[in-house]
Amino acid sequence: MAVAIRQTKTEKAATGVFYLFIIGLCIITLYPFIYVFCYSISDGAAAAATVITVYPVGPTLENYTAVFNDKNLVNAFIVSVSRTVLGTLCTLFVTMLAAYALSKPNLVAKKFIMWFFMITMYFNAGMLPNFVLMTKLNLLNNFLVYLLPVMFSTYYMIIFKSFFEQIPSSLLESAVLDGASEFVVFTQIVIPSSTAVIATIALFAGVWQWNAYFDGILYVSEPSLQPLQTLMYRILQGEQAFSLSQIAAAEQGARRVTSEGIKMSMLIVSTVPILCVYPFLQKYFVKGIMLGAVKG
Amino acid sequence: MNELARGVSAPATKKAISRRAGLWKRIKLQRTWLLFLLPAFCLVLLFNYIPMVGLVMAFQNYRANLGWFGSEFVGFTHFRAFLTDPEFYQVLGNTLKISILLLVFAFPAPILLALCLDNIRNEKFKKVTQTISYLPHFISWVVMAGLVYRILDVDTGIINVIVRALGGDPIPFMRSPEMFVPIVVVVDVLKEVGWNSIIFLAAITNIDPSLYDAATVDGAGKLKTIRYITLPGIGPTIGTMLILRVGSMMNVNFDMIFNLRNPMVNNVANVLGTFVYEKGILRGQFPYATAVGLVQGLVSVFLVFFSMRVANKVSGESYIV
Repeated sequence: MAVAIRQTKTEKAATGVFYLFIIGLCIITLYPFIYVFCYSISDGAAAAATVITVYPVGPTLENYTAVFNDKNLVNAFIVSVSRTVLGTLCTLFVTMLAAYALSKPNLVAKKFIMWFFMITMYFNAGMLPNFVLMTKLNLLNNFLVYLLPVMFSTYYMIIFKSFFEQIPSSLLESAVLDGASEFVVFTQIVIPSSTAVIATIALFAGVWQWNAYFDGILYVSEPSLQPLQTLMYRILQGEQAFSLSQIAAAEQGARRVTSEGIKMSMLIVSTVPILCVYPFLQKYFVKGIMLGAVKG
Repeated sequence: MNELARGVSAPATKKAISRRAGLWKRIKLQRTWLLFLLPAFCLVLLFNYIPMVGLVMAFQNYRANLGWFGSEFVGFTHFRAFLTDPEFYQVLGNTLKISILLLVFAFPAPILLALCLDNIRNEKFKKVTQTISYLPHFISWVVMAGLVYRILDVDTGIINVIVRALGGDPIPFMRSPEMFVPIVVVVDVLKEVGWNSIIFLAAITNIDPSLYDAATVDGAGKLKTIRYITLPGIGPTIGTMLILRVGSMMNVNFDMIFNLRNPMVNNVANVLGTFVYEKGILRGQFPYATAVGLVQGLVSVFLVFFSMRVANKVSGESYIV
């Protein structure tokens, strides 16, 4: 209260500036999405001829119909969903098991194993040796190339480890005394008591998988194995046109569908799943990033 | 007795038995834990350590059919080749230029945002704006570049519509080399400012509240409180993050450049990462590209460890396990 009473003119101005700064940032952040959304539901010909600001011109869903009727795009969408679901599950499983073992203070050779993992955070061999390895392992044009190399992450392991270390060891030990095996302890006690950190890492790993495009460029040439982001990259860079049927439809139709309109709908389609997930996990990942930053 | 209890008591009895027997016993007792570690260990060995063997390519006339062990060794030929290549110096210059500009402009932005957010009393406003500011962090660079190209389109992009409305000539943003670096800086700030502010906000909440009370009693206003309490309070965090950032000077975000660039701006947009991709993957010069990548990797490691040492000294906290 005292603070409020003592507020001078400069104080009020400062508060105003803080609010303005934040509001300005939010507008600049959100506007491109609103703009692209409006573009995607606008009549293609009209969008190219007039100016779109914050509302669509000649609203139509035809761009979206075109996107969902394109076999390549639908297929890429399925690849992306598969790699996101499977990739996230695999990463969680492998990383959590390792983190649980490393959370034990008396683990054999713990220091060596930690260094073994930590070194990979600072040095990696680079693009070419990795490419040669994938070739030798027959992982080119293979769905497994999306899963295997990222199944374990040292960064996620460190976050899990510091969470697991906070679980009271008496809880785990008493379960073992009752005759539970380590795996049962892990699945019945450790996993249920770390849902917050699991949600955080699932979000990180899932978003990573959903957004990954470069592995698709580097290791995959087979069109049916391309994830959505790789296909979008190729379309945006003009390396890959839409299917012929679509262009024909766009040319013949009332010109409501344009390639630019389809591109914009594509961007929106690939963004919606993320929009649906991250705001609900906010309170968890804020904690997660702090743990990662301090311990990493 | 069960495994875990014995595992715990093992160190106590260790002295009694000889060291090797003790180690063997501990391995046997902890076999379930070691089994848990096995998949991660194998994956890291295969996908992180085996490629390091492949670095020999940098010293070879690598032939795919002869492999890493059969190709002819040529010493430092490829290193000499890129060190005398003017294109390499251009790329190195681009990398450092973008890194330094990001350090100057993109680094302070989240600190500023954190200070603003900290002074907002309306919790709901704060939460909603924070959620919005995190959004771009979760968006892929492919989508981000798609948005940027649309907004900055020379004919129908909204920025050029405004420019034209104000009586100016439309600016071909994405096609002019002199605009590329400023665009990269702005886009990078917008994408990560919210996310990076988390760590600074956390540091602010860790400041002793009694300091603020004392400042209020002394009649210090908001600005003075920020200047004399908040900023010094998060000084160590700022210093640490700054130093860690310097450590990654050699690595400009590959995905950012890869998606935002186009052939028109290649002279200013080609950085070490994209250079390695172009030389190695697109033009098939594996040894040359491996050599460039190796030097980049080694310099990065040196910078990271050097800066961590400094960070440890500055903050007194350990940033390496």
